[in-house]
Amino acid sequence: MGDAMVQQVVVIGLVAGCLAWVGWQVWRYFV
Amino acid sequence: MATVLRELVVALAGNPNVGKTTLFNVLTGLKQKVANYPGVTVEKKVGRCVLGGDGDTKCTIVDLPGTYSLASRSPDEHVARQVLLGQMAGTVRPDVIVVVADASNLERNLYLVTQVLELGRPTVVALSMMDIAGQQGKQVDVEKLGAHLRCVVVPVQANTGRGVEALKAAIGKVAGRNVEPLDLPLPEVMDDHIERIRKILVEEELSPVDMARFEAHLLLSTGEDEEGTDGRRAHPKVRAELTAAMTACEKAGVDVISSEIEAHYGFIGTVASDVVHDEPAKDAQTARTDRLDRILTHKVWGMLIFVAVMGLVFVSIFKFAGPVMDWLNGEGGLMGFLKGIADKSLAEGPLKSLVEDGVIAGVGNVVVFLPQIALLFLFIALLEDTGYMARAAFLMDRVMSKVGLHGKSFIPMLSGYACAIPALMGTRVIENRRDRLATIMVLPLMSCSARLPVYTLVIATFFAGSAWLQGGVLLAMYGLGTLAAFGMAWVFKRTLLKGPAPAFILEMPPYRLPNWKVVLTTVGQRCWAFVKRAGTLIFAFSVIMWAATHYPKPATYSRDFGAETSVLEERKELQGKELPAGSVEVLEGDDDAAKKALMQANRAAAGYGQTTDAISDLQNAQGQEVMEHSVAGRVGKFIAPVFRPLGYDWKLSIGVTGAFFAREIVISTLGIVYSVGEADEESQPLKERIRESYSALVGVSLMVFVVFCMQCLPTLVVVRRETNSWGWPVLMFTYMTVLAWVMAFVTYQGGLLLGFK
Repeated sequence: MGDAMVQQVVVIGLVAGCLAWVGWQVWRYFV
Repeated sequence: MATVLRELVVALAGNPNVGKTTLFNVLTGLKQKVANYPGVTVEKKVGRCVLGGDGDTKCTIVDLPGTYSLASRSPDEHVARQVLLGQMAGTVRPDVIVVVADASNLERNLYLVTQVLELGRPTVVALSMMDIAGQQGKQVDVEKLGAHLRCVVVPVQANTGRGVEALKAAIGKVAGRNVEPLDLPLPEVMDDHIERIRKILVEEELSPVDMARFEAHLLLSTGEDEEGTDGRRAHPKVRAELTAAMTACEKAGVDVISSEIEAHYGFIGTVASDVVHDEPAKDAQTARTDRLDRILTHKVWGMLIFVAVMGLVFVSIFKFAGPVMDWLNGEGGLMGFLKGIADKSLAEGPLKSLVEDGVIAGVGNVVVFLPQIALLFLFIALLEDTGYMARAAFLMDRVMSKVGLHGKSFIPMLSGYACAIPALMGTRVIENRRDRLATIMVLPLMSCSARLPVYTLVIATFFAGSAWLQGGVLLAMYGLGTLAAFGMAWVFKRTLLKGPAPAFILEMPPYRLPNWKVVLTTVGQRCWAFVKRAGTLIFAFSVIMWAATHYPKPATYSRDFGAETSVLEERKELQGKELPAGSVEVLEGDDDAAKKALMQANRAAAGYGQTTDAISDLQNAQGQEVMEHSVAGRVGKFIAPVFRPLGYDWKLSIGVTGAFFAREIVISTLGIVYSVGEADEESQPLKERIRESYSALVGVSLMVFVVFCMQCLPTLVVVRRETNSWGWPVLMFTYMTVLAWVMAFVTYQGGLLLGFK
């Protein structure tokens, strides 16, 4: 996995995924 | 044999800690479902089992919450009663009731048994703990007991499976039988009014005909319903009759509650004296337990021993887990291994940075605390299983009664040392609503296992040296939390939750050798929960924190880092290559040690080390600029003034703020923040970098903050569920956060005044 482009896509996906997961957890708890 | 056309529904009732859940697990195997009863937070456990014998009758087994009676004083009791009466929505009225009774404590357990027998439903009594009764020198005559109770009594030993088949057979046998309810003699005036209430319940269709007498009996004999769980009391006719009954009883000099209890215990006393035979010769274990208790529950010695035991636990945590953690943290350990893999398999780029500086630095720095967590859980499980925890609760009862709570509240508080969430559910055994609320409100002050990594990181960083000193500091932190819990309980019981200190009877189980299977399973489960949390919540936050500390990147830097680095890299390469005369022979030879020594001497002479340091400084400086420009840097600097009086810089501030989601985030954030710009060759453990950046006083201030602060989202959610309002969790969050800030402020500013830095 050397391609900088691929790395960028994976990183954006991971960060977005984690943000969504945390958001969902908070929503699930409080709403 | 009764013919059963549909599947049987069997309810499993019993006092807490009589082996009911073990029996449920043995009966149902893995065919279980856990949910909540509608409208309440009491757990509903349902499983399936085949009875065997003729026709292989199938049955559904409902495990009721452990209760001492069916008086409906606590939510657990109310649910148990509703299910037994068939009034719980979504649960069919049971065909057979199995009451699990502890043979070593028969009199207390027979109270619930007699109440169930008053229902007049097919009942089987499963007599557990026969072995413990035997060890205590008590022999229970099972047949006589059955004759007195007029029901089937089966001795069972759920953990070995003994008696389980006989129990299944008994369930099949009694199903569908007509059973006469047990009728205990009550004062005439009570009997008369119970009959009147019964008629009202039937006329107003508030109860099925065959249950009406029992319900009328309960309504009258349980007194006031503080929780308001029984809506029928509000019915105008029932209320009027209840008031009339109470007045009549009062006139006749009859106390309904005592009369009820006396009627039961009168009957129980007769039964117990006839079926339980004490054998004093076999009393060796009881005598040993008594002798031990004389010291371990002594006013002074007991307390000293308790503190010493806890101290030893904490010293051991450092002594035994320390070396394993150092290895995990080191180059040859887990962290080094993971970094090595990431280094080899990923090319330079954002993903590599995310894996190394985000995931490994964040999650890795938390996971390395697993050995300490495992040891803490091991000790807690050992203390529980040997019977020592009950003594600790007894010791604390003296302190607790001074603050207006009783020892019963201390048992969930003790389990709060592991995690507040199960401990909060454990408060359900407290009948009085105010006492339960007071316990819930102070419970999160008990230092849970998520705080342990923060304490031990700070202690290992600033209190290096003997494990005794480290254990002592850790003990002080746990002591601080416990004292704060007592103090706040005192405040709550005198303000919002005013009420008298309740009396408390605590049952002391005999001391016994720990059951290793139980202990290790508990430790395994809790460790797995910790790893799972690190793999989900901490992972997600590490990824987010990495992104927040790395982006957005500054468009321009204060220096041309790229050019400066390439100059230094070139110099470093040259310095690495320059060789003194005669070195060619050495390099061509076979002596590897000589080659290495030569290269090192040469590099030192050429200033190779200084150049490496300069590159690393340059990378750190660039990392700092990136971080200060990033989202986390800006947010951190924005909130830093709040934490400055506590001695924290903006990096600690962002860690502490993130930790409101979960306490371990303090560590993962520091791991990420201090891995920024870290050159691989200069990689040092997190604690070294913290020691360079902060003073011991800041460390202590951080620990004090963590002791008091409500940094756990799931706890707040559970408190909301348990109290059924947002008010209590909001109050809890507010008072704990304010307390944490004030205490850390006092610690830091006080320390400064005393001349610490």
